[in-house]
Amino acid sequence: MNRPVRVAGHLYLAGSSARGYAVLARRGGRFHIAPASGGGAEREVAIAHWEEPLAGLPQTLTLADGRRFVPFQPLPPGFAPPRRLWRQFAWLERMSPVKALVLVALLALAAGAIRLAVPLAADGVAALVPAGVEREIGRRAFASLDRVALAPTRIAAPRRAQIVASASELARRNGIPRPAILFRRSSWLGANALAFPGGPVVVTDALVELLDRDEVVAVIAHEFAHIQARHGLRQSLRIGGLLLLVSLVVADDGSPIEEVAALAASLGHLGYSRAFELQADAAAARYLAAAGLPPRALASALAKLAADCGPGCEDAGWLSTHPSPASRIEAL
Amino acid sequence: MGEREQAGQAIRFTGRAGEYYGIWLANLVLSILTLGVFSAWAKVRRKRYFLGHSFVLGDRLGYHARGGTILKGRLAVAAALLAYGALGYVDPLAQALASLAFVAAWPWVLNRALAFDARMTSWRNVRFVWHGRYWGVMAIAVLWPLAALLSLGLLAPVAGRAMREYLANHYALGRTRFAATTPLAPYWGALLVAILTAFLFAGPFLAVVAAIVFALWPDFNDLEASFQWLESVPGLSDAAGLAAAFLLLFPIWLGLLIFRIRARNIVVSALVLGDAARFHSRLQPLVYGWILVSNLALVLATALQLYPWAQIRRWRYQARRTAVTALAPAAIFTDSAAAPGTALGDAASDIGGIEIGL
Repeated sequence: MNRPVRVAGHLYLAGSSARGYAVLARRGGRFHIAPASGGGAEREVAIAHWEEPLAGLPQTLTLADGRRFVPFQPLPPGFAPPRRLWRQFAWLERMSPVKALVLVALLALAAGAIRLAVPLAADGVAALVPAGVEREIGRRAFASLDRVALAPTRIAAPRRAQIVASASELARRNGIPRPAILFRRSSWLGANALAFPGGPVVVTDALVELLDRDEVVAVIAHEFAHIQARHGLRQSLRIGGLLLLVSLVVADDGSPIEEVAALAASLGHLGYSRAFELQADAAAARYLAAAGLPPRALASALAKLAADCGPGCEDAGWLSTHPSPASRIEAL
Repeated sequence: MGEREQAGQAIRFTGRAGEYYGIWLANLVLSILTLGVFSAWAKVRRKRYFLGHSFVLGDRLGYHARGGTILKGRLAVAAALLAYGALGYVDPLAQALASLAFVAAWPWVLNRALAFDARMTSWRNVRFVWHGRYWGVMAIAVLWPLAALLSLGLLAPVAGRAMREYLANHYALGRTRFAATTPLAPYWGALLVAILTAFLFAGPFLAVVAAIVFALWPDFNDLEASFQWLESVPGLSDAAGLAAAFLLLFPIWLGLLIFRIRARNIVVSALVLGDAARFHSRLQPLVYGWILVSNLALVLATALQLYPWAQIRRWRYQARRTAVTALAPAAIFTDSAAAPGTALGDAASDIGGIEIGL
């Protein structure tokens, strides 16, 4: 056991590039250092810090007097003091085809799990966000959109009152709170309705002019469902979760790989968005039925909206936030 | 190319893709299992591997940061961002003021990041030092890039030179300062070459697009029918839109890359370390661009499995085309007494995705 193990390397003065060749010897638990040539005496040294081992790299040792010893080769096994964590890392990082296969399979599994886990985790976080905070987010988002893109409505007051009354009745019969329903004119939104987190629901004049009353209420029911299920908040949290994971995988690579990964993440979030739309459609159909309104109203509203929009709107591939109207009507 | 005599001794890189693959995979698995906490240690291991396998004049570079320090910095930055977000619900005016504070703090944070990273990097047992100041970093990180952008690239040579010279002149190895002084004319040359090459590549790319359109378009006189045909194949219009965006963006990306690489060659080839060493950089922009593009294609095609190999390949090329001449082989460098920084800045620059380097 007391047979010395020797390693050759550079011995540096503290904080200096001045150095000489030296040999570090381990005898049992003690370390001795000697100049490699010139016949200098061997002296016992105390080692203050061992750098962690990393595949293929020699570990730098800091002596108690501040000098540093950098071996030419990685240290022989058993030279450094035994640390379990180091051994486990070394084992994990030393690749064998089998281990790589197992880890890659694990990662593929994790990737599949992420597809399911990100929504779950995001929904868990969403559950922690108080309703007041969510309403505040929605109020602000609406206020800024209202300032820049929306104009006062030109729909006659009685018509608006009818719609609001009908939507309120639908909310009451379904036992859900009724968020504010606001009417606005907008040139670029077209026939559309928007739900902000926690409310309000905004209905454009073009939508009211295009659809009959039941159909407008059906669209509002769809927006109620978004608010009721907190889709807006959950969606933002899901995007955040996916981007966090992407940044873990590609770190600070600084090549186009990072941009492409972020793009892939946003494609993932579009998938979630389409799923939310179908959920809201289904919930709206239930609301309509419970309120004694024709459940077909939502499907006919979608059909009219699609016809109004023209062939360009039929497009609904993996880059869209909404599924195609045809598939939504089919689902209803 | 290899036959031609090169000034100086190229940086030798001994990292191997097979070996690094293990480190990368272990880092990735542990980072995901610990919900990101391990990524601070992963960063240290990755940087240690790449720097430790890079030999400058026969000696390895070293990286000495501790994962715990980087994690603390990241947590501090996350807490600051969280507090900023929460402030918005308490008082919007306070948040507006905080936004100003963030902009003002950005150069300070970046300066700390540069100092930390330099301090954690060593060569021949001597740590690097960053001597940048607040307003200097404000200029290179905010003002000059803004000027280049607002002038539509016309000021890029002036801005690019100012930014790179500032970086070059504020690093030191211990007590020995780096320095670089470059004439302006080569930067104008770099801009000219970048613009011309971008146009050269844009031409054939647009021709390919036109050819595909001519070949596939069912009826040129009936646009309505053509659009309907495009819509009739699921996903086709999305794919076409995406492809068109890439074809337009590619020449722009290439032009920026060419300018960046040529500017790097200019400043690194003028770089000296005291009286002890001088540097040379001979990166070929198109070769480097090809490495980036083919890396991306291979990494995507192999579901990320070639990602470690791609990183090694890029680093090896950079090392091989960067060389150092020892002017005073016996020169002794000594550490400066500067205190080692915290990782606060490092984490902030990580989150911002900002990386400044020569």
